[in-house]
Amino acid sequence: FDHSKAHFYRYDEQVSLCLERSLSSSGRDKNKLTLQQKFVRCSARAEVRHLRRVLCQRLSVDKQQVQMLFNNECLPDHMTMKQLWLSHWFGKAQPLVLHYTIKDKQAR
Amino acid sequence: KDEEPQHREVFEFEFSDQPLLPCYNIQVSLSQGPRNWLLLSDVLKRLKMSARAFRTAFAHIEVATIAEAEFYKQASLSQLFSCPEELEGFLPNSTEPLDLVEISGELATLLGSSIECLDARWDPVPVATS
Repeated sequence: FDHSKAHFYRYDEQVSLCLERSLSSSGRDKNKLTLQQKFVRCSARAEVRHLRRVLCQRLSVDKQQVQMLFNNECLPDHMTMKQLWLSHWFGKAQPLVLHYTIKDKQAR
Repeated sequence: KDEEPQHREVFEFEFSDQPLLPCYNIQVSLSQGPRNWLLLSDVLKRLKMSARAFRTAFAHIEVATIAEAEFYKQASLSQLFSCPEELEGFLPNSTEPLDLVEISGELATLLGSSIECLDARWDPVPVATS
């Protein structure tokens, strides 16, 4: 039994998410700034900041432009997906629905 | 000094335009720890393939087998499967074998997903958070 990789994120429990673009997003190019693949699976140890970072990669925007929301409330960067699940989605079916907003770069 | 890429711990994010198949964190044998598995039956349905065609086309993809009761026991311990409907199709006392396939980049790609990787250290923790 090789324990050396047992801590790897890929062996963690995974969470299933659905990332919807918030209607309040101010980004102008709506199609370009909306995820085409909005169903996401990741480690339960991933944090909101990691999700923001991959969203930036996907949508080619700056990190400061992306905000993650649950029920219109901004999520703290260091909250893990497991914390989020247990505090906001326990007892509900997968996937956990999150929203994201994209701010215009000039608006900063 | 950086570790070899294959030994580096990275976050993997799987993106799909259709709802992802349920994934179960299960220990199928004592020789390895828990891994993430999809039900082969779910995969076959999504790929519209028979089990035979799948095993022929992807002979290198290992199919693991576990008794349904053991699968249920482990899956129901997860706090992420807290919705009773998600496991209601399984029989807690059945000894019938269930076929599982481990999630991998290849399988994800086959299912139409794409993967983004993120090194956890790439984004250092700032002193003051917003």
